[in-house]
Amino acid sequence: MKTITNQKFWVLLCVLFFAIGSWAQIITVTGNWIQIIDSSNLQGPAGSDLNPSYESAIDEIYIDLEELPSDWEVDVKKFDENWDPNLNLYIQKISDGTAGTPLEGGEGYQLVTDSDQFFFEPGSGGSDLAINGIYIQLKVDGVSVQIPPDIYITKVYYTIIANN
Amino acid sequence: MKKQKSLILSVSFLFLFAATASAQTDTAEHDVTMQVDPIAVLDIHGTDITLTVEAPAIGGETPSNPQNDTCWLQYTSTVGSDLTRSINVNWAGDTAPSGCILWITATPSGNLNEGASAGAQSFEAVLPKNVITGIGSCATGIGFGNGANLFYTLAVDTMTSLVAGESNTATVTYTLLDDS
Repeated sequence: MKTITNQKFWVLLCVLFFAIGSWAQIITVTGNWIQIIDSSNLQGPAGSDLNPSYESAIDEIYIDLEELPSDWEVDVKKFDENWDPNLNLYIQKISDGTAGTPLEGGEGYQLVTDSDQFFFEPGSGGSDLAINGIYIQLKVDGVSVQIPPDIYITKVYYTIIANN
Repeated sequence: MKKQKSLILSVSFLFLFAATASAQTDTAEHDVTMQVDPIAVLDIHGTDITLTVEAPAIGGETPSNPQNDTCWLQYTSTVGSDLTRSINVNWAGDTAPSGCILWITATPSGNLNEGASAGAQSFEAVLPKNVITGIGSCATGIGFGNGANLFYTLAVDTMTSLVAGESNTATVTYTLLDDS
């Protein structure tokens, strides 16, 4: 009669750990947005205020998703490193990348806050195992001459969550 | 052996359950950087002006001082919270007609951070001189009636020095700059 030794038991456990670990979905984001605001952004001649709203380029930032489960969602939030309270950050999804069926959510700008908020999820056709090149666009409004000259930075966090 | 198999199966199901029951997450991030640079721009709304010393209505009187208030100084300024700016005026080496002194007063509208008038300044002494002080972050607006009204007066100072037919052109320059 064969018996499972202590050593084999732990090997099996390690394999199990590895297998479970390998299921974890992966999200990567490529790109940053740097907007310089100076006198070229005035609405008109001297005496006019700054343009209040600015958008990132549509091909500036994209998201890749890998090892996707059947059901998942991407949430978004920001963490301010140095941010003026008059500045509002918005986000929208520009494209669905290589998704086989259209993704749901992210159409039209939504306000990014300091807490996680739903951004997008797989469409009704189900999820691919990987989706690349989901382009997103950002917008900041609330800019005026009342914003003191400075470098304002906020980090935008994208979190993919398996909904099983 | 049965006990060991049963234990492994139990542990396996436990991990599987844990793996599926808990929402697994992964996070990625990027920066958004808004660099707001200091801005200091100004312009004059209005056209070149002419101040003419005319004969008084009644013989024996001193000619009146010609005045003009049709120009507006308009500016956009962004500064740090502990900084202010001023606008000074200069007159690049030109002179007023003999016997006359040119005076200028810039009067801001009183809106937030647009600064205060430094009072009437003459062009006979050392230049440049401040005409507006205490400017913070502001946008005065554009077009007629916005910003600081420029009030020019050509004052007859020495009647006996006036020269009939004398005409001088002066280029007046305004500069918005940081207070040191």
